[in-house]
Amino acid sequence: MKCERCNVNNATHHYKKSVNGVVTEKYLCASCAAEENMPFKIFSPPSAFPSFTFESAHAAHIYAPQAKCGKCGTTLAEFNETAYLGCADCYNELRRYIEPVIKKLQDATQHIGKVPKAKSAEVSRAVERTRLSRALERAITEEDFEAAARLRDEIRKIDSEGKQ
Amino acid sequence: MNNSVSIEKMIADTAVSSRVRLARNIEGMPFPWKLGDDRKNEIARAAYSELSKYGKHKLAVISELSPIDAEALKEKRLISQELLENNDSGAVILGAGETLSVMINEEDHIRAQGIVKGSGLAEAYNIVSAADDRLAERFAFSFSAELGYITCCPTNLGTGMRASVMLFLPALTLNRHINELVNSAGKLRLTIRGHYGEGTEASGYMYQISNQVTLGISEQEILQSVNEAIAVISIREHEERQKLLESNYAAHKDRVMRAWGILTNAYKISSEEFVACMSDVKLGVSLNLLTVNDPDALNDLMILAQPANLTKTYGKLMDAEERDICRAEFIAENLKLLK
Repeated sequence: MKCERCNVNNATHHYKKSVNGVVTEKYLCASCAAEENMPFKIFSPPSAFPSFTFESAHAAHIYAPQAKCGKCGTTLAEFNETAYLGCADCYNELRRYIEPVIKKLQDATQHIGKVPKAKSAEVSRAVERTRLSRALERAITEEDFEAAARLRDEIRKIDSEGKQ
Repeated sequence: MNNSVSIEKMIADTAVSSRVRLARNIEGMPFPWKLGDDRKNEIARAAYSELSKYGKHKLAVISELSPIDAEALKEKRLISQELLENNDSGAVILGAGETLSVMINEEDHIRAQGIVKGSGLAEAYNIVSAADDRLAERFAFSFSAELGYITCCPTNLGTGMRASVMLFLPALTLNRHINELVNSAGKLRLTIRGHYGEGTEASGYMYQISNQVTLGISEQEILQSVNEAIAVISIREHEERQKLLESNYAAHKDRVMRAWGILTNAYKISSEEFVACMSDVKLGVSLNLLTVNDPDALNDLMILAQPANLTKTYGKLMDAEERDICRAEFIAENLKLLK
């Protein structure tokens, strides 16, 4: 589940307020939550199909017959039959179904090998950004708000470098 | 076990060829099976023109090849069956010496392979990685920091790399240890499969070992794990070959000499019988029951005697029996040259 505000990071913080029967709920990532300056609680979104396997991918498409990639139209049913995805965006669009399959096939889900030269700056930034946002979450949990503010600024710096 | 034989020699007696394949796709384009021909056709020419800057390469567009030429490329393992099927826009770019083969529009937009004789994964990797760097100058590859190189099938994510070595394992086959080998390999996340035909008991005593995992592991780690496995397998094969000799010298010597006799005297010979006899000849050479002046040539002959390559050599289309007759003649001539 993506952060409602930046739609980039995964949502790890949940805020719920009920005022006169009107409920406000927000799901944000650590950096956006830090900016909102409201009391958020850490949460883990439930995984769709915990016991997903390549073999039981068939079952998933029965539960989610509508599941298809918004960009190229490849359906989960097609993937189950051929083991082929249709485009790079399928990995995001069908993430909740594909991720367990990847985990089962590959053991790990983080690339540590060669990076094409054109992407090396971007990848170093991504790796550094992940490191910083994990540190930021820890700082928030530990209520070390000075550290959190510093980390948040570093993350902003990386994000703005990325946009250049 | 004969302690004076080095590990390098044991590996050289087992490893027939090594290849490293890298799978790449182009950013912003659906994978080949979802892509229209107009966009697919651009890729081959662009890749060819880029690689040509660095030396002589050959471009073969599958739809423009005769079926025999296409099949001959497949017999030489320069292209896959999948490239030939359902494919109006498949192409292959070959480097000098056919040590580099870059398939276009197979399962992924680009599947580059480095191929080297014997045990040479590091060299095969260097060849294909250099081509990969050059192609990366021309194309923006689909890549994410998390999943690595994005591929059509999740089994190829990350490094997109499959490192394989073709192994000649007659003694492990005859002494019935292949299943054990397959299980041990599985535990190391390596697969072993028979080269000729389906299933693990292979005719021709030929097997292919390759890595299963491509994501969360580095290219060097993959090379290392396959290399370590082939060292261990080669030692085991060497042990079993000694046992074969000790257990029943006469039977094995006879089998080898009869195979040689058939290959040098038969009037016609089918592919299947040829493979079986040639495998026994190779076994004989590896056990010193028979000597030839160029053992590597035996592997080359196995390719050249296949139907499409044979047809090209003889320069005329033939029916099955004519081919079997030509095969027998071709092999007899070439084996006599090796004595």
